[in-house]
Order: sequence, then structure tokens, then C-alpha cells
Amino acid sequence: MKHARNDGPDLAFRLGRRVVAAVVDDMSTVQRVGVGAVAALVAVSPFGAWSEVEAQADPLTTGAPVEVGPFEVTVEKAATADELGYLVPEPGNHMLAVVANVTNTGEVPEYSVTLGNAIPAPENVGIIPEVPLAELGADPDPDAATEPTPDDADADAGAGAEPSADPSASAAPGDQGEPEEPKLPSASIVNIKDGTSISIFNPGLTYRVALIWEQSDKFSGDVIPLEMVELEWVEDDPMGLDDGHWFANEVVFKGQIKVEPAKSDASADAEQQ
Amino acid sequence: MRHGRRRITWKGTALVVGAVTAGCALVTYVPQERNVDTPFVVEGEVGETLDLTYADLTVTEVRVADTLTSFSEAAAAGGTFIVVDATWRATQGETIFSGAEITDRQGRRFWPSQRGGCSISASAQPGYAWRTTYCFDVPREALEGATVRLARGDQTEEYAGQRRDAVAVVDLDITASEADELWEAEETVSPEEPGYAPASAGGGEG
Repeated sequence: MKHARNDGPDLAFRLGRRVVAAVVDDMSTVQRVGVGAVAALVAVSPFGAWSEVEAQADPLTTGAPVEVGPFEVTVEKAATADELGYLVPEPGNHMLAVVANVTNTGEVPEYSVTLGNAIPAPENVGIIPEVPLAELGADPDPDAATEPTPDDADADAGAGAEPSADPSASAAPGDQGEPEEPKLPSASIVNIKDGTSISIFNPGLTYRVALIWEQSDKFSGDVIPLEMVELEWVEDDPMGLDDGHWFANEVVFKGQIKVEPAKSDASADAEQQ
Repeated sequence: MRHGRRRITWKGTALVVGAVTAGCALVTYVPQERNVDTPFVVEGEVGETLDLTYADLTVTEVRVADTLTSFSEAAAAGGTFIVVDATWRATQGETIFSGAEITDRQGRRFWPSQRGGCSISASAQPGYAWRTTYCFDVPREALEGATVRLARGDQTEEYAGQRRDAVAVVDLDITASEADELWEAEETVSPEEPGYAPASAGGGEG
């Protein structure tokens, strides 16, 4: 039995060697080198030899302008506040704002959604995820005081606990037992000069804007990881009908941005004056 | 009964080859896309009523503003707002006028803002003039020589909604010296709510 078990690999090796010898015997040295090189290239293919080298993200720092798609963005700071204009957080949360100067350097207007795609919500800092469409209209769980944060979700998964929402309300058939990872929302983009929501960036204009997300009070760090995503112009989209749009590609800038704590109303008023 | 084969003659062959060649030449050399896509541009000036077949359009007034105020909010310009008051009179049926864009001398395009109570489109029943105000946030260098383009089709996706349709292009008549004055002026404008235009602005029953 012991020998029989070893017969397979040994036989394959001997057969392979015979095939190689039969082919190589009639070749010149140059041909052998060529065939060897081709064989080596084929051999390394399954191990990602031809995969694109993952681009290293450049550092993102406050005060330094960076180009993402049609925008030049200069991050000024990050700050928290109990509420920002018409954006009021749920109890137990606050608002996180990244303040930046944004210029549309192109020749045509760009939607603020495009800017939102270029600057996704910072991860693992307690940003409140979007409520899945399937859960809108479902009975809220009285035990859940607030929406679960990504951090909470990780903790729940580690402890093997059930998610707080009723799985039957959110999980699609076949997905039960594997709750979908909550998606972080796009930023609300507000023009700081007047507190209005900005939807269009016309060319040649610079706006000081706040990109705002709702954040859990459980987050106690003093920096947030901020990423900027390369925007690639798609002229013809063979996979869909949406020709001529910006496609959010890979992260090209990444940095730690210091968060200024929320100011009291009195000090905020004093600063404005 | 067996039919004899039709003979292929040199004359027939030449005709077929000639027709195919002529067709290829037409497709290759006639700029079809431009002919198919180009809108019918009706040019005019501020105060002039333009016939767009589906509507009569009058740009009644052009102003600039640093700030726009409305019932609900005040909007501050990143540059300055060009405020364009216009009157639409639909002539064929209820019409939505979705196209509004300013173009500067460099060919840069600027879209209207909804901030400060301004409109980005209008909808009008036939027979009545409907007043609306568009506000475009533009940089200083866009003022001189700017034109406004208004139409029922929108300007997104390279003017796809305006193909082979009439559009109005109105010269805002801003000279270089006026551009400087307008930029320096600190004006606040409260856009009127869209509504039926008075008779003096081409309103009243048509």
C-alpha cells in the first residue's frame, strides 16, 4: 500500500521527464533557452506576475493641494460639532466635518456627488452607516438605541452576537446568516460661507466646503484616516448606457487628519466675530 | 419549367459597384453626426423675444449679485451670481424648459444654482407667459462676453436633450469695463418666485 500510494506522483514525474527529454533533445541551445524562458513565464502567471502593481497612495496632509479628477482639493482640518446647520445627529452621535477648499479646474460644471465619490467616509472611526433600503419601513428594534456603527458591528461579529436588526427584515433570501457589511454614506457637502447645500461646482470657482458625516460619540480618537480616490473619466462605457462620467478608481492619497473637538456655542460665536 | 440563368453583364456590375462606392463616399465624407445632432440656434439680445417654435422666450433683465436671499435661505456666491430673468410662453402645449447654461469667452460652461430661491428649470402651460429667474455662480473672468443658452432640452451629456431642437443663445452684452464694475459691486438680489408674468413682460393671455 505504501508503494502504491507513491506511484502516482512518481509516475507523473517520470512521464513528464520523458516528454520534456523527447522535445528538448532535438532543440538547439538557443531554442532550449527560449522554451525555458516561456515555461518560466507561464509558471509564474498563476502567482499574480501580471497583476498591476498596486499603486502606493501619496501622503495627504492639511494645507497641501491635491488633484483628484476635475477637482483641486486642499484639506484644511477636521472638526466635530453637535450639529451643523440643518444636519442634526441622532442622540448619542455628533457630526464630523472635513473642511476643504475645492476648485473645479475643468471647463464644465461638476456635481458635488462626484466630489463625494472622491472623498469617501473615513473608515473605522464610528461613522454611522447608511440604513439599507430593505430596513426602511421595517419595525425598529426597541432594544437598539442607535444604529450600529462599523466598530459595533465588528464587536458583535467577534462575540458571535446576532445583529440588532431583525435579520428577516434585511437579509435577502440566501443571505441569511451573513449580514451585509454596512455601507458608509457619502458626505453631505455644505458651502461654509452660507451654510447652504452645494450641488454644482462651476469651473474656476473655489468653495470652502464641509464634507459632513454623522459619527458615534463612542469614537474618542483625535485623528481620522482620510482617503482620496482617483477619478477616471469614462468617455464610452461599453458595460452600460452611462457614457461620459467620472469613475472612482483606487485610493491615491491617504493621510491622518487631526480632529478639532466640538466648540461650545460661546467660543464659536467669539471666533465668528 | 426551368428558367435560364440571368447573365451578369459588365453594365450591371458597374452599376452595382458604382452605387456601393457612392454610398461609402457619402457615409465617409458627409458629416452626418453633426447634421443630425446640431440644434437650431436662435440668437438674440436681452429684451428681444425669440421664436423657438415650441415657445417664445424673452430674457427680460440681467443683474449680478454677491448674495441671493429667499424666504428660506441666503446664498453667497463663490464668484458672483449672474441673475437672468426670463419669460417663457409655450406655444404648442405644456412644456418643461430644462436647459439653462452660461458660456464664457473661453468656452467654459456654467450651470444654474437652486440656492437662494433661484430656478434651474421652468414649466409652463400654453398661452400664458411664465416668469422665472436663473442664477449662475461664475468667476470674474467669465463675465465679459458671456452668453446664456436657454432651451426646453437640457444641456447634460453634451446637449443630448437639445439635438435637432431650437435653443436660444442670448448675448448678455457685458463689456470688459462693465465686467469690472459688476464684479466690484456688492449687490443682494431676492429672486422673485416663478409665476405668471405681467403684461409688460409679455404676459397676459396669448
